[in-house]
Amino acid sequence: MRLALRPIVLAAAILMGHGVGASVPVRAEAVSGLPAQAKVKRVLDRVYVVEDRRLRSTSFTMVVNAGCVDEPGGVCRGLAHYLEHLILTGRNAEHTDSAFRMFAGGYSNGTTSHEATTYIHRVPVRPEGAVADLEKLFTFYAARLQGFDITDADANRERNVVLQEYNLRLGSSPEWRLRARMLETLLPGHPRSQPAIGWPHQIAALSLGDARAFHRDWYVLDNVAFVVSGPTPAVEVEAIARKALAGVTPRPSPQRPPRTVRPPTEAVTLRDSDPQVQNPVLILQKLVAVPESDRWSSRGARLLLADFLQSRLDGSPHEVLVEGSKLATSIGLDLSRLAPRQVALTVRVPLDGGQSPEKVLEAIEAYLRDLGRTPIPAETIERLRTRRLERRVLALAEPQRVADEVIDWLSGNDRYEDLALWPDRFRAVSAEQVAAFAAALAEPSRRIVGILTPREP
Amino acid sequence: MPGLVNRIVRVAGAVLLLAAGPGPAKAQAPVVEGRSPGGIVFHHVVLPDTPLQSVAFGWKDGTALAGRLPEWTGSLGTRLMFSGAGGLREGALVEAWRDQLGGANLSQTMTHTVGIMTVPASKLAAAGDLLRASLVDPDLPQPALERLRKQMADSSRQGGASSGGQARRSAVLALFGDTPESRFLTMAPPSIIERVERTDIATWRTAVLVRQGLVVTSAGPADTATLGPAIDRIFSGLPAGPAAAASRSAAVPAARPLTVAIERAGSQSTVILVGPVIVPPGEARVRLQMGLQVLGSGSNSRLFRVLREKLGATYGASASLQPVAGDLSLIVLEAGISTDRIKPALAALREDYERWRATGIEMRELDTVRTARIAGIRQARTQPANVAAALRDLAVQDLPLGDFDLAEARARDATPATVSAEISARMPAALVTVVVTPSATAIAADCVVRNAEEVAGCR
Repeated sequence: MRLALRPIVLAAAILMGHGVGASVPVRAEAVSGLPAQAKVKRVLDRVYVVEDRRLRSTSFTMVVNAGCVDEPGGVCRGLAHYLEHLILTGRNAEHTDSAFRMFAGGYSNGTTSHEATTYIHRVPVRPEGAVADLEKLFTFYAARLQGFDITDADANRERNVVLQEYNLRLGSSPEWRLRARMLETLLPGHPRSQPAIGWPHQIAALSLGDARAFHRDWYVLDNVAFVVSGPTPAVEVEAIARKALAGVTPRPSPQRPPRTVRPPTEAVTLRDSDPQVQNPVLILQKLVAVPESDRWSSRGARLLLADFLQSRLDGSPHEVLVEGSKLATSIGLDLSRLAPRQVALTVRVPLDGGQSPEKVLEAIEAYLRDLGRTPIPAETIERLRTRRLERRVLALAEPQRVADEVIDWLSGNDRYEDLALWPDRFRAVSAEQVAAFAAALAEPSRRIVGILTPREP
Repeated sequence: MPGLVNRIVRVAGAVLLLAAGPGPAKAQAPVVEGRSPGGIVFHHVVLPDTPLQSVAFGWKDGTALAGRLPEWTGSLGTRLMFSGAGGLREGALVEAWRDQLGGANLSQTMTHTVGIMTVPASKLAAAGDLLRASLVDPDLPQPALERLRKQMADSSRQGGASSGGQARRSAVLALFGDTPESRFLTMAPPSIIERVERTDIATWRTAVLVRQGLVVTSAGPADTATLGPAIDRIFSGLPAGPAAAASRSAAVPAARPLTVAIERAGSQSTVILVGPVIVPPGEARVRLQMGLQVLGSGSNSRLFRVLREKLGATYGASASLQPVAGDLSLIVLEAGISTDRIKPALAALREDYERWRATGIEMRELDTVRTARIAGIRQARTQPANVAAALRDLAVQDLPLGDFDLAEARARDATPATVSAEISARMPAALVTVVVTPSATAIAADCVVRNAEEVAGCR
């Protein structure tokens, strides 16, 4: 029932990938004396298992590669998220209580982003093992690929719960509301500019019939994946999954229409004020066209550049603008991929340094121009790359993180086969590619500025 | 839900381990005592299956409530110490920690100053040097202090402006009045934060961060022979002593049957019910925590079933016990409520609390939270930061370290009768209720105000 909140999702919080080869520039001490590495086994076409006796619980996740961008007409109304609520709260033959209460003492939840819907259950390890739990879960979700039950009354009530979720997480935040307006202005008509949960008037109009139609289109065996982690042998998970999924009627996956971001137009400034706001803030969003010879080098360059922009290294925005120019007490930056060759740069600066918004914007743009002219030193790039690779080595020692990485990867609509290749691709990203990416940030492009200020109640 | 008490010792899982501690279901590594070559005694748990090593540490610190230094001196001081040290300016220090793939923090509670460092075991020495620099040789740069003061003052203003912030601050003020305790539990007014000077922080540091009274604990793959020299390296440069004075006891507020409404525009209403609870750490606290899980933790809880599944009035509601200091905790019930359903939701919250207090819990409910709790304990016991922090929190409070190994047994041994008895004996009949809502007409409020600062006038 959690909602992936970011309108634009940064592709990976940590470096994703498997198998760090001998050529990895990882300092020896980082990999010495580590516990055994966890491994992923693909036991069926769409079933992945991390078998590890160190785990104290069994985790089961179903990833549905359908999120709000797949809603009818390419408009995010919150239908995918509403359906997630209905699946979890409906009473079905395979489990006659809410799926939130599938296991006493366990954990159950769901999450919906622009691209995917995931259902997760964790069950503590028990002396009798997890076979019966996994049979129940696979049987339940195999049936959910065929349909779901919920009464009209429960569906109506759950719609108000979704509205309260919106109010709690988003509607109560003036800054989130401004950012959402900015994103809609930056990417007019594009589903990624719309909140995955939908706007209140859209949530109020959601119907059970619409949810059933979305379910029919997208909850298809070829469009889902299952990830299981725990001490249960992979061969047993395979047998359970094979049996449960054998009865699922095959249906074709719908085709996704290609989406493009409209070309840049004029700069816009949006202003808002709110009694909840105590400290004024400036937010800059830029739609940037970036070089992309291939998706992987572009991803690697973007991650390395984002690491630098978010760091306090010499030449970073914090070092130059906060510590040096005293522009503000902090600065936050984010780089998110929207589409092939398109990224959004977001900069957030509290207006607490006594500078006007115009001066702050000028300083940011000047910084970006300098960044475009003066490449980040190669040794700095290597330093940032090494951190990601070393973190990756550490993560491999934790079996649940290995499973979570597979879930993240599949939830981003990436192919599992590419996961193993990613570290080598990341390692191959050159300082020149990062420099070209940085230079693109300084180019004239569509720019939205948001200014949020206090207002008397 | 964010915690009402925003400055207690907060390391995920540590509270669970402290209150309950893992038991014998699977052979657990024992707590062993080590002594560094320099004579620093520490307690350690070997966790061979993790690559990370945690070293936790703490001191008694009575300065937060003593009134000899400006309030919030310790809180600012703990942050300023990481703003440059050992020849590294602030940014360089931050980046040096990132190179070690780990981090450290220091924070002040109402009664202690505590810290923890977690890094890959192979980087213990290099990270230890960074920590030593901040503890022993911090720059305490004036520009960083000015920036921190401004950031904290801004956070205080902003935190108090949201509906949730208003509700929490109002509830604390209604219970404690405008006292050092309430100013510590919620963000202090900017005027107090801006009063803290560099010399105050230096005085606080010299008085508290000394070797005498220092508590050190650790967890991770390293053994005590390896850890001893690393611990000396971090802490041996601290002044010898004397140990800081312990804190005075926090004032215990009286339970009050007060209902306050704060009228303000908002997308939904926020409801919070708060009351004081006196319960020592250990068996009784474990029972109360389990009882509260039955009332308001997760999708099995009573509040979830009635407020969300029956009324459709909320996305989630919670009930929790939030430690303040010593034996004093607060019971906190909290929910964001659909404004058009505020009246039945508030009535349901009160009815369910009253029924829970009067009749206790059932075996079926207890079994569910027991399973979850024991699973949480076992999971937390695999995480070095949780283990080291839990041991540290026992040690700085002079509680027996043996409690660490009792938690699972305490959870297992709880019965509906013992849990219900604790609820009945310790939970207050009267709770302060604060509702932040666009219109107070549906609420039978004793007092309708515009903001938290006006709550002092509600009697």
